[in-house]
Amino acid sequence: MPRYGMVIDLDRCIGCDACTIACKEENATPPGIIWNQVPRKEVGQYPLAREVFVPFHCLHCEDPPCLKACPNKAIGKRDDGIVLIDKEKCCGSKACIAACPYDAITFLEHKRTYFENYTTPFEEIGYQRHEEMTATKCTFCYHRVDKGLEPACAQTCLAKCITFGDLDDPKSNISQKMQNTFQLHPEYKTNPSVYYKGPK
Amino acid sequence: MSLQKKHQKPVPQFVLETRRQQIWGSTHAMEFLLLGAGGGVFLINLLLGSEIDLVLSFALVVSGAVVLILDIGHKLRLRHVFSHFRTSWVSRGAISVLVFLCATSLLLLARYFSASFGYYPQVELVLKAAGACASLTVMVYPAFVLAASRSIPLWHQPVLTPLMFAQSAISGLAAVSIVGAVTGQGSAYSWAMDSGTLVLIAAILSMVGILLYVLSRSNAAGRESAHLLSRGGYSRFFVAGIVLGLIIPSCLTAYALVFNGYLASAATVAAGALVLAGSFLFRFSILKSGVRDPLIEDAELTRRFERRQNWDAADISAGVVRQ
Repeated sequence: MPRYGMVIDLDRCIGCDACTIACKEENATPPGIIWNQVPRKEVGQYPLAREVFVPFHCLHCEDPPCLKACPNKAIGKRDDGIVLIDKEKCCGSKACIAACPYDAITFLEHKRTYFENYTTPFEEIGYQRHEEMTATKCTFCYHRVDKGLEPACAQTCLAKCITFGDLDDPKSNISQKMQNTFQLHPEYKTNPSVYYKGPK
Repeated sequence: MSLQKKHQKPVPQFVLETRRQQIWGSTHAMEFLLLGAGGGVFLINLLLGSEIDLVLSFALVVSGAVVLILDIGHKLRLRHVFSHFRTSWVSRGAISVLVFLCATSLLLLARYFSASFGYYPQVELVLKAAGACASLTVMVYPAFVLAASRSIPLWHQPVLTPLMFAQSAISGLAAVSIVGAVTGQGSAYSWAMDSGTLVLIAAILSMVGILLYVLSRSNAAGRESAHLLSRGGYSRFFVAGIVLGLIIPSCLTAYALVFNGYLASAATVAAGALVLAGSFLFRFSILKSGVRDPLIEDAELTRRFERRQNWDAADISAGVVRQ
């Protein structure tokens, strides 16, 4: 069984937010819910200042604190390492949101539409995948992964800074890019499946 | 057809810097207060044995459970909430509340119907033991729920567990004092209760001092939490919680301890009401001042990009313009 993960090359990211838009289009998330964002920060001082973009979404930890905190067993981890929230079981206690050390889970209170008094056909179909008053987060596009495709963000990235693949397969693209990578906050001991890569 | 503007909340932003948690607030503070006070009243009842205290603890825990249920998004799915007790403290807390309510209701039934069905001391002992374990869990489980957030240093402090226990115990004492004074069934142990209140106030103030000291010497998120509590946005709630909920009640309780009469009873009631209000404000400020660690520390980013910056510096000094 593969163990899916991502390597995100921070040196290649240009901050175009194409991954954010691709994620919203693929998963039809309602207004106010963004599973994939690209926060940015300035580092250094003039004339050596630069802006760093850090594409960020659920890190699909090997030992997810959200899964442990959920009182309803609504969060599960598949054999391939993808952590999913079962919207049919989620009671909306928000325990997972508090427990996630990366703040990667959001709470969907109301399924608002983008246009006033009008739901587009795309929204009508897409919003069936979401339920109000439940926790929601990135799914690694498991519906695409199951068909052998990459997640929408990885496929769309113009700068090819997102590499998706099997972390356990030494011949996979992702395994060859694992050098000089780091995980966010390894001290939390969650072992995230998303690795970041600094400059070469 | 136009893009919606009304009722739009700002999109929650992932940011790299420290950020305040936005999920838990006044509802949870009220829930923790009611459940903790209910557990505290039950433990006091075990020591003093007043019948009205048992009813009070039952009512407080039921109120806390109702607040909890109202806050839950899908109420009907709460039936699964007991299923994940091996790892989830919310689940353990829910089980404790259920055990507590069963034990207290059976104890009340046993007391009211003992004349008809007979008195079984062993059964009462078992129910009291179950109720005591459940009330202890109900009093401290919020601290463990908060401690699950590894990225919020304020919530992850070990001192928060005894602090929550002491706050729950003093809230229980306050509720018992108020009800005792209002119903005219002042406890014969009022001296012990007043002394206990003063000891708990001293313990809470010491633990608050330790908490602020540890936070002010921790990482950026911890320091920001300490700042929010002491001088920042939530300092007025926190300081009010300390002054109204601990310092003024300690003076009033000391007065009630030394003097007797109508004024002493009024001081006890006032101290109890202030302790309950202060306990809510304290919990609210602790919840709202939870600040998460930055996703990537500044030092980490700088270190990672230091080498690239050296290249840039070399380029600049050599007058190289990269296309």
